Amino acid sequence: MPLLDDKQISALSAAIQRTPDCPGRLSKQELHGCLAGFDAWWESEGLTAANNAMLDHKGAELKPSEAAILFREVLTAKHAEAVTARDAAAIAARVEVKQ
Amino acid sequence: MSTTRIFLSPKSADFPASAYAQLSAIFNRKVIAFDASVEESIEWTFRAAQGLTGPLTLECDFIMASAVANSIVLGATVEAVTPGDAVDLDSADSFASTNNSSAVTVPGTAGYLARATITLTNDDGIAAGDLVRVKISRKVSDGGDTATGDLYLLGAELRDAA
Repeated sequence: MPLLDDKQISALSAAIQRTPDCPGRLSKQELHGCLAGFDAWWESEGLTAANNAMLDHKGAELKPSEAAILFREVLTAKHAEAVTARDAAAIAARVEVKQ
Repeated sequence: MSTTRIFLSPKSADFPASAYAQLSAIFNRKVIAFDASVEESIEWTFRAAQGLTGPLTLECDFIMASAVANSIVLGATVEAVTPGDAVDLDSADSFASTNNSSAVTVPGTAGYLARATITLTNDDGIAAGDLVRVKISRKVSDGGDTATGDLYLLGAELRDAA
């Protein structure tokens, strides 16, 4: 997929800043750079690395969107204390159902 | 002569038709929440108190929602109308140029009180008895406004030099 353009990164940055999860130590410029850097990493290395990490547990190459969803879910579950209470409750409910 | 002070509280604010900061409550304190990406403003209307003389300053008390580093910049704009002035109030305004604060470093803990002082060099020639509007905005495009997340304004005090 193409990288997010500057306008999309700005919109994403603005949205994150409207949540309690915004990393307060970063400047606006740094947050923008982090998001762009993460996007670039995901496209250049992250997706391949994610697929390799799941190599023994899947029958076929995952689509980028599928890998992204799994990646997001694992990270969110691992760092649930850093997300909003509403999201944490939703994650906890999902984990409970799965167990 | 004593200093003349006018306190501007969140609940007495007027909201522009668009791009307005939002009235909110944080721990039962009324605040005006300013976005970090879109320039928003809020206004107060009052009559200039007797004895008010320039130069005026505006002291803005705020906390940050999440930022624990970097800085913010607030701007203030004044409109002062004297009866008889050639300003059609139902179709125009006469705000003077914006006055900006310096870049104010935010506290290292979100929620700790900080204060931005704005010298109102451009005060639209305010005089006692004028009908006044003061507009406060967060200057999100200013190079000094680097802190992320909302800014919560808890109130502001307009004071003169007397």
